[in-house]
Amino acid sequence: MSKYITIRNRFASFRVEKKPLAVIAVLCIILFLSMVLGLSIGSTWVSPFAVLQHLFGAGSGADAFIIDVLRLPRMVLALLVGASLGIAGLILQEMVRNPLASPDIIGITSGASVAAVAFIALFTGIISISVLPLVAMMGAGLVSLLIYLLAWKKGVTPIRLVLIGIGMAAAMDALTTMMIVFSPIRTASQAYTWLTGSVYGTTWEDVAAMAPWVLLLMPLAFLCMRAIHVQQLGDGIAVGLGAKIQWQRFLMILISVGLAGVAVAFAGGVGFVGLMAPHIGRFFVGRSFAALVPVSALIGGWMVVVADVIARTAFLPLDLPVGVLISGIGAPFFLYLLYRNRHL
Amino acid sequence: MTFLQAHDLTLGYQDAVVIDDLDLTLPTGEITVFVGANGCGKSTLLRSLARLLKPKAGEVMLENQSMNEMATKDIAKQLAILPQGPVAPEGLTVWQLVKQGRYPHQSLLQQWSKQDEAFVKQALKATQTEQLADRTVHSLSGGQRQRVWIAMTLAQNTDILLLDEPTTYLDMAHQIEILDLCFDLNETEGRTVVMVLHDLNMAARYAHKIVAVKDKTIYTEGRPEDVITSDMVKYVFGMESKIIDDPLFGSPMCVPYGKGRKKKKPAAEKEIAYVN
Repeated sequence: MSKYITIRNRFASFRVEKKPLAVIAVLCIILFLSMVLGLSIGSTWVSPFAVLQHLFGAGSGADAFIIDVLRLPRMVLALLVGASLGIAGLILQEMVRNPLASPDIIGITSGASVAAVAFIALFTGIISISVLPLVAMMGAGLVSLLIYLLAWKKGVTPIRLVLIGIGMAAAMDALTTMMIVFSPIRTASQAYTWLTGSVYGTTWEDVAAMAPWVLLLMPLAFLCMRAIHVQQLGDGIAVGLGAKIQWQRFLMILISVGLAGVAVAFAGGVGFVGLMAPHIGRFFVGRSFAALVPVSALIGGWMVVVADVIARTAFLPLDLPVGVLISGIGAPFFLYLLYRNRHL
Repeated sequence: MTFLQAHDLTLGYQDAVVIDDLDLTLPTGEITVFVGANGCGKSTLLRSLARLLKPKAGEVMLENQSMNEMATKDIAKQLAILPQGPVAPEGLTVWQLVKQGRYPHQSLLQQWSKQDEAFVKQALKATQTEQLADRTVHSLSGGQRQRVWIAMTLAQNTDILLLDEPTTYLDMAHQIEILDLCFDLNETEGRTVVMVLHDLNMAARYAHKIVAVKDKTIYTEGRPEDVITSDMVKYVFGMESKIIDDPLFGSPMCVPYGKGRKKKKPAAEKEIAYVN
């Protein structure tokens, strides 16, 4: 039996690998089960069957408040955040041809952090906190643009982008720390929670504000596929094959900044997902970018969902920021993966 | 057949000029080889012929049209280039690599037509790499790897093929293997092949035309038999040599002077053993 499904008609022709489709199906099932279980546990136990009944509209309504208001919006946001970060990290890693790339390196996290902390430190009580996501996103966009422009010298090369990004991130982090040090303790702790990354107190409005961005940008990620595949072979080969590499690079950065920027805007500095999700994805489906987009999204989403469930239940009555859990569990798991694949 | 010409071409990096005001016409359907000392600009010249380097002045013409005015994808349908020492990403298979040669013929919706499949298979066949299709590029030997990269440029299905030092770092047997492949591509499929080679003797054996680059321009160009002389070698490479006939092919063969261990002759012939 062939490893591929070939689709050919008058308008289009594609070839799809079969194995990733199976992986995606399995990941969807795992994600769904994790979500049902995640909705069950908490300070009040709701049985998984009740959750399922409720989700499919056949519930008694007794748990409506817990599920609909407290747990589900938070979980859906966590899913969107993780999926966005996973894809953003994937695009960047493939674009700069470096497995250590993540949304942090092109200034998204540091830019958003500076903007968010400045907002918390300077405008708390003056301007409504609800514009914080917008401010963070603008910060992310601005710093990314600045890095891109500084890296430009008759075109942008990945290595220049990475080095300037690292320098810029260091400068921004210094600025963030300075603002925290100089602000009152209450503001400082709020800023810290934001920096760590948290989906605490998410409402359906937050989800509704974030979802359109993600739904718009995710399909665009697939459009990067041809560019990624051809640029992997090196700039000389890519130009020789007729690729407009600078234009492609700009679009890829734009999509990736958009995805990671939205995630950071709504959940703060959730680190590590963008770095880790694509690596775990490659573990399952290899190098095919078309397969890695959905797989990285599912893995990233699953990671944040599960980490948040643990963060809000394991230390009851404390509700930890999800970022702590991601780094605390994710980092050792990542090291373990690297240890097992020592050829990397 | 597609023509490739350079007019008043000036090339360089930042302020340094590497090629100054050069004119060149590449014969269609023949093998042309650029030779010259290290750093003379022959690779730079080849790269600019494939629009990998923008000229400081002058232009490269493809079929009477300036490359500056052509869409890069359209150029890629007529001309393929394999730069020096390409590196495949970890884990990429031969099939995935060769498939990329179809890039200029594909689009967002047309990503795997029957034609694409046919040309990829044909390229693998021409380079005798069909049985390697599922291997990763990294697991191959140097010679196989170079054949696979050439297969990728073949899948591009262009009249013109530019190769930058395709035999560097290969042992002698693999060098011959690659050059024989180029010979076949020219001989049986009539492709125009332009290469940079370091080995003057291989250049003389396979090329219809030699272009010797020196002092930012072309020192001499023509058939190997006419062009390769000890004076030319002395000027272009700064080396004394003796030109003899290749015992197998009759093409000019350059034997350099220099130090080295000489084979011991019988005592009686000792006096005449020291030529030069």
